[in-house]
Amino acid sequence: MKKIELLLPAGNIEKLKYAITYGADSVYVGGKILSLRAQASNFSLDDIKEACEYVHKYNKKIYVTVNVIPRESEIALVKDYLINLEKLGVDGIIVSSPSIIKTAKDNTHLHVSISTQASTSSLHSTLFYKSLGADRVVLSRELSLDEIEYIRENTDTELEVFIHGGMCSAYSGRCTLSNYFSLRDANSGGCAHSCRWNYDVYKDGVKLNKEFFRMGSKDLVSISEIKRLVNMGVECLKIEGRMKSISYISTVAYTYRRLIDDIYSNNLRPYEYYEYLLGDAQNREAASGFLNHEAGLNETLYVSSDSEANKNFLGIVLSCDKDNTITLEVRNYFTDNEDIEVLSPGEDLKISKISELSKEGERVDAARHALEIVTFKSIIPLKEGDLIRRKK
Amino acid sequence: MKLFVEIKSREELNTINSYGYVISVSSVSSSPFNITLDDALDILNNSNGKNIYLKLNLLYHDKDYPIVLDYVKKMYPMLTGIIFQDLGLVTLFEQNNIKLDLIYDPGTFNTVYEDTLFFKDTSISTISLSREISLSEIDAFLKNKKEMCYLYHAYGHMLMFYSLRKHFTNFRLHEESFPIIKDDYNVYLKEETRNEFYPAYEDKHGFFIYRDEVINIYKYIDHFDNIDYLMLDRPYISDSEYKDTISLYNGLIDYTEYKKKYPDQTDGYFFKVMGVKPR
Ligand code: SF4
Repeated sequence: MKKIELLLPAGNIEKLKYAITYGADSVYVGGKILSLRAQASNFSLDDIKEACEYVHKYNKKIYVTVNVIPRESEIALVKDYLINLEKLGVDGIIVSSPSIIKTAKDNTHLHVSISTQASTSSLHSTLFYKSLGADRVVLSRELSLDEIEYIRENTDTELEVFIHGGMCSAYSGRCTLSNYFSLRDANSGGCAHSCRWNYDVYKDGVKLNKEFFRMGSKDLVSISEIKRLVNMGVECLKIEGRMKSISYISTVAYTYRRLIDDIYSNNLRPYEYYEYLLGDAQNREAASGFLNHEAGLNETLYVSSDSEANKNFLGIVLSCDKDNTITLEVRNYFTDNEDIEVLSPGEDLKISKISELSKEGERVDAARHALEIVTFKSIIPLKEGDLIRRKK
Repeated sequence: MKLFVEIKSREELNTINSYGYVISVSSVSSSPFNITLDDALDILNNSNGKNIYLKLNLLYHDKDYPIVLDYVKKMYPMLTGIIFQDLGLVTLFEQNNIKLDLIYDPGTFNTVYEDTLFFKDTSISTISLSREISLSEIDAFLKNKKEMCYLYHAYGHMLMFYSLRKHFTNFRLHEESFPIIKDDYNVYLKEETRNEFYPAYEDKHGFFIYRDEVINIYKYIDHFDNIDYLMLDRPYISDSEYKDTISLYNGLIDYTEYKKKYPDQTDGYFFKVMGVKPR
C-alpha cells in the first residue's frame, strides 16, 4: 500500500525548507497571482523554480494553489501562468474555478486537486469532479470519518483530508460576511474573519444574549483520527496555515511525521505523546471539527481568537561542535541553565539543558533578543536545523 | 428575459404571473417558507403546464441523497427542473436517469463567463451569475456569445453565510439563559459596531444569515437584456412587497411609484470595489 502523503503549507522558501526537513512529503505554496491567502508571502515564479528544485532534490512534491474564484481581470492570466508552472516543474495545482481546471487539463499535464473551496461533501460530488478531470479532491471539512470512509470505499479518485489548522465556520466558499462588512472578498483570499466578531441576537426588538454571540471555529487538530484515515486509504493529509511561523510548520510536520511513521511501523504511542510533541505550536483552542461528530459547542470559539506568540520556541541550531558547543539563532528570551527540548528531524524528542550560555565569547545570564547568535553547552549532541524549545 | 418567483401555495401559482415557480420543500430545501411534500405534490398536480422548479439549495452529504432522490422521484415528471448548488446532484440524477432542467445556482461562484463554459458538456442547462460581481463585470459576462442559459438574482435579501453548524443551539449550550431558537424566522443578528440587523435562522440543515438590505437591480434592467432568467428571492420579504416587485418586473407598476414605496433598496455590489487587504 502506498504510504499516505503529508502535505504542509509554505509561506516562503525558508518555511518550505523547514516543512520538508521536518517531514512533509509535499508542500503547497501560493503564487503571486490567482491564489487565496493574499497576505501570505506568496511566491514569485523565481521562488517557485527554486522551490521545485529544492523539493525534487528530496523526492518530494510541490503544489501551487491557484484557488481564487477568478474575476474578469484575472482570467486572461490563467493559461500562460499554468504553462509556466508546469515548465518550472510544479507537480500539481489546487483549484476551485471550473475554467482554471479546464485550462489546466487542456494545456498542461499538471495534477489537479479540487480545492476545499468547492466544499466537496459527498461521493456524488467527488464523482462529478472526477468526471470533469480532477485527479484529487480535497474533501469538505464538514465530513465525518464515517463519511470520508464511505467516499473512499466507493471511488478511486485521490482524496485529500484536512487534519490540522484553521477552519471556516461556514461551508468554504459559501460565506460573504467579510465581503459585505469589509469589502474584503473571502473567495479572493481577503477574509476578515467576520465570523469571529461580536454579535447580538435580537427577536422582536429584545436582545437575547448576555455575552456576545460568536460563530468562529476552533482550529482543527486530529491526532487520534490519523490511524483511521491511514487505514481507510485516503491519499493525502493536509495541514492548513501558509501564514504560520517556522516553528509552527516544523513542529506540526514533525509531530504528524512521527505519528504517521509510528502507525506504519506498528509502534503507535499513546496519543498524549503526539499532543505533547505539538506543544505550543497549537496555541489556539482546538478540536476535531466534524471528524467525530457534528461540530458543536466544543468546536466553537467563544473566547478571544487572538493567539499568543509562541514564546517557548527558543531558537534554531546553526552548528554543533565536537564538544557539544551549540551555536544558536535566538527566537525568544531564555536564561542559562534552562531545561530544553529538541526537535530533530527523523528522531524522537530529545531533552537537554542550556549551560555556559555565551554571546560573542562572553558569558551571559540570558539570551534576550530575537535573531542574536549565542553559544551554549548541551549535554547531548545536536544538529544544524534542530529546533530548541523550553521544556514544560 | 423570463421571471422566476418563489411561491408558498397552490393559490399563488394561480394568482402570480411568472415563467417559473420555485418551491422549497421541507427535508430537502432550506427556506423560511418550506412547504410539505404533500403541498408540493398538490401544486404539481395542479400546475396545468406551468413550470415548477424545486429549490435544492443545500450541500448534501451521502446520507441525504436517498431522501432527495425519493422526493424528486415523487415529483417527477410533473416537475420542470431543479435549482441547486450541490454538483453531486448532477451525478445522482444521471445515475437514476432523471432528466430535469438543471439550474446551477451556487451563489458565490460563477464570477466569470469562462467558468460557466466548463458545465456545457454536463446536463446543466442554466448557470446563475455570482451575486458578488460588479455591474461592469456582469456587462463583460453577458456580452459573450451564449453557450448556456444564465440566471441572475435580481431582487431580495442576499444570503451571506451558510454553515452546517447549529450556531444558536451551540450558543445555548454555552450560555444557559439563551433561548432555544430553531425554525424561527424572526431573529436577527447585529454586529457590535453596526446598527444593522441581519436575518438569521437555524434549521435542521444548518445556519443561515442574510444581508439586512434588499437588493433590487430594476434600475439597471437594460444591462440584463441578454440574460435568460431573473430570479426574485423571497426570504424575509413581506408578501405585499413581493407581489409589488413581481408586478414591477412584469411591467404592471411604474418604477418611480415603486421606488417611492420602497426607497431603501440597494444595488448590491454593483459599484463597490472588492479587495483582499484591510482598508
Ligand atoms: S468570515 Fe469566517 S466563515 Fe466566513 S470565510 Fe471568513 S473564516 Fe470562513
